[in-house]
Amino acid sequence: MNTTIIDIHSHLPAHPEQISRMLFSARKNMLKYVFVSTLSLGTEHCVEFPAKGEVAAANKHTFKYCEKYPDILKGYVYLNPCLNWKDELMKWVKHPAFTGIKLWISLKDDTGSPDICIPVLQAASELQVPVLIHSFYRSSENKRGELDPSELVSLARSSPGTDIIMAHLGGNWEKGCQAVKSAKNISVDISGFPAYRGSVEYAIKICGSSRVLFGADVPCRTFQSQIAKVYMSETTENIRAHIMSLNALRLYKTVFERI
Amino acid sequence: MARNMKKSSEHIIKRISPVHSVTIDYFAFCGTYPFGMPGHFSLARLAKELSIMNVSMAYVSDIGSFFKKNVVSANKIFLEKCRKFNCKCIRPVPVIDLSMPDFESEICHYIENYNLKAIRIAPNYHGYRLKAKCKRLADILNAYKIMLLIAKEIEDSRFQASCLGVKPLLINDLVPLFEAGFNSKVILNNFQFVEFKDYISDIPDNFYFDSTAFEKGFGELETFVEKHGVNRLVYGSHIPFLYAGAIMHNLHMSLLRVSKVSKIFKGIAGNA
Repeated sequence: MNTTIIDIHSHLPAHPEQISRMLFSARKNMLKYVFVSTLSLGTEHCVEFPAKGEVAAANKHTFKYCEKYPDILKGYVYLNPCLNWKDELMKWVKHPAFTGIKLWISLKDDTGSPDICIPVLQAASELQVPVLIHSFYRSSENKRGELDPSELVSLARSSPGTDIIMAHLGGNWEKGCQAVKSAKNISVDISGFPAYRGSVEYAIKICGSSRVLFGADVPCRTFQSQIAKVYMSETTENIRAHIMSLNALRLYKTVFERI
Repeated sequence: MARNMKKSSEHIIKRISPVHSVTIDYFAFCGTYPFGMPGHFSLARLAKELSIMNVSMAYVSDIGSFFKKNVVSANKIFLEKCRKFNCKCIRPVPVIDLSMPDFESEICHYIENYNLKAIRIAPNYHGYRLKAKCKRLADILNAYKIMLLIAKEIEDSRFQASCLGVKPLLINDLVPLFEAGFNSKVILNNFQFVEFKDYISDIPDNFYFDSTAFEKGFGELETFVEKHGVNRLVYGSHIPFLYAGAIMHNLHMSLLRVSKVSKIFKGIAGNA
């Protein structure tokens, strides 16, 4: 349990007090870095299709705290591909804490097509940074702009030079891992669902241990409940180390070269 | 070479297991989950994991009693298996289907024949509304001083097999319970307190939350303890759906003091 831990998927709460507690917990749980994005400020529920101003405020919040805690926090730029996202991306790419792009559930246009995300993926490829994308197979219908893992695979094929991370093992993890197994530019993170027995072993078996990354999805979850998934899984110490940090060090190579 | 040997998580679980004398788990299962992982989980395997985790006693139900058409039969087979297995740390808890017209006699049968101490209900899995059953349920539980465990869901319903269509148990359905005059203890399995905030300001003295769902929001555990004290919280592992030790680790590495975490593990008696 002496592994270095890099959390590649968490979020910053809006309130400073919550952020302090989050960082206290991160340090207690021995996290070296926490990669964060902000999806919304000032509302209890995040806006599914945020306006330009909301996205800008969210990213400002992220990088303000990355500057305050540079030893532990690194930031994603959160984008809404339905809007003019380029300006927002370019505003932050030079920031020393910039790690990549975060996309959530505003990923389809009015016709239901996710192709609006392709230019974003291509921009990430040019910048050589990964794109972390929320993706769920739900038992019921997905949200309007939410990608399921099969849609994510189509996008990944249209931009093969982009490193994509499918968050949450795709929700229904058995189905999600199967969906992305042949898309080699998609890695998966284990964040955001209870510590279901077998989930980590299954991701390793289907996707390969080099494509599985650790994420906690704080504040939707706790650091320690997500760490427990990896600690309690039946695998080798070597694979645990890869999931906890070594795969992130490789995938975010250009970012770590700057740190 | 040794670094690459496949290692069981047993050594990690042992390291985080509580060292104090009593640990009670109010949310554990065995049997077969028909829709994927964890698949089949035997009583022997459960007993082994409970032992590794230093659990003194677990209130265990059969997974099949959530899904089988004949719940009564599933319960009887499970209780017989437990009797034969004779493991002191496993306390079998039948899942009672309150839509059956004579559920009271089923409970009485278990009390007389199996020294029953608790029942579990899962109205959303068995397809009835709790409201209509509250009075009868309160009468029999009060008469026999039986503990009631209420399961919200046994798998995150967002990701269950689509054909199941089970929705999480609504808090709205539980509200009549708070007014039904229960004297017996009630354990809420896998509920988040945040779901209750619009319905109750204080938790009735005989109601307890298990710790399973408190990993669903950062700071929920600590906020709950700040507002309501540690006495309203007990330990639930959600084994075998969750990794053995996962909820234990969640409690140990939370921002709560060790003394408070110990109280949670000790269960209702420890909290009295």
